[in-house]
Amino acid sequence: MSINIFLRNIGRFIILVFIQVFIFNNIHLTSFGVIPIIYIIYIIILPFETPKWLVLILAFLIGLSIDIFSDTLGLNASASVLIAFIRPAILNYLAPRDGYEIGSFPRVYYQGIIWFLKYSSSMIVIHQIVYYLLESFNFENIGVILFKVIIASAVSLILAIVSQYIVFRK
Amino acid sequence: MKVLINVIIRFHFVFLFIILEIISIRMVIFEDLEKKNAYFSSANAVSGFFYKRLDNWSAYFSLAHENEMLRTENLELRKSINKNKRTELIDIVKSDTSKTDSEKYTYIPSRVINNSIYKKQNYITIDKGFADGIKKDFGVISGKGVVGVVVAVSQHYSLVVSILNNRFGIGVKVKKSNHFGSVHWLKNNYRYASLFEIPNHIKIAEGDTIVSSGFSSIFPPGINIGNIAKFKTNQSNNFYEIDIKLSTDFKNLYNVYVIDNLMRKEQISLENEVKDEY
Repeated sequence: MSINIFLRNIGRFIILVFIQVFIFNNIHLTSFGVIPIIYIIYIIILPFETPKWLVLILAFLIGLSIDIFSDTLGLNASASVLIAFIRPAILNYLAPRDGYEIGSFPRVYYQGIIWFLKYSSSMIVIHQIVYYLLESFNFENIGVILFKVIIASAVSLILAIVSQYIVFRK
Repeated sequence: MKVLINVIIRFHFVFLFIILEIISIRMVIFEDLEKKNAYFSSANAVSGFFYKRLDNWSAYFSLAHENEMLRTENLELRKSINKNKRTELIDIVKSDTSKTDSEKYTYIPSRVINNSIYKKQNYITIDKGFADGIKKDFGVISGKGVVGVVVAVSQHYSLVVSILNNRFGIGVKVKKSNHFGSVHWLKNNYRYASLFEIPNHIKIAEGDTIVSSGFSSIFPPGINIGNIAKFKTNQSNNFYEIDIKLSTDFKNLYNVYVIDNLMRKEQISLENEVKDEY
């Protein structure tokens, strides 16, 4: 059972990196060339019971893999590590009164669409803010950064939700 | 000591977070063009392999456009051959010691397998590496003009920093008057770059051609970079603020040439010798 989950997670890691790098990195939205992110779904749907330190390390590894393929060394890694750090707090904040049911996962099927919307949107927005701030490295054109964050987050959120109904149904 | 270990165990999550965040932000800040590592870029063996495969497959969709570009390039080369023939007849007496440009540089044809234009630091991956004779600091040009400089090399792939990178600059001159300046990319628009260090008293006009200066050992002199799109005078520091339209269209970049300067070693060792003495 546990080795099965382990293998499935490794497979998901590799597939999401490839889909991000070879499909979504080639999609450029608006004239600013905003790229929708999909690999963040990996961090979003890790089981509740995953040790917190393991989430950090996995987030770092998936961010670094994306960075190596797309020559943005450190950008995706730092944004992913930050959301992995905030994830327990968000999960805590959104938890139902008597905690999450044992054997359930952070997905639409178990937690409902409203819960998932709140959870994934906060993760994605924080990720994108960190990403674009670090990329520009100053607040020179805050309007442009804000615009990019809004577009990228909206499209990525739609992708995350669609994935819940197509791939990660249960 | 026991207390320290207890603290580390208790706060291991926070400590791990701080360590990983420092590692990744360090990579962002200190990502130096000089120390770029092929293993940590898209020019490594694994990602180069997949990008190459993808390019083999997607190249079919751009074939018509590529053919058109190669045809215009051929046409221009043919024209310049005719021109050269004429000038040779005129100055038939030539000093035999100086090497001409064609003897000084060799060109390695190569293909773009990964390219980006919308980031703040854009890089290009090409499908030739040190097995094909490419080394760090080789210049890269397309049929239309300057593309960038090789910053990291693996066995079969290399990473090229394109002009569209805010950490990269290139020495240029105004073709008409031979005044030199430098081009940096600060506008985040893949068609335009900024030209600096041209003083106010020089006469320039919109449409003037900007070419590489040839002072560095990277590019031969006279390679196209772009044309002046608009300029305005800055009274505070007596330099123009110039926008140039780049001649290379980075969005449609498929075939490039890597330039090997055969006299590079000599030039660099001479320059370093002088630098040490004075």
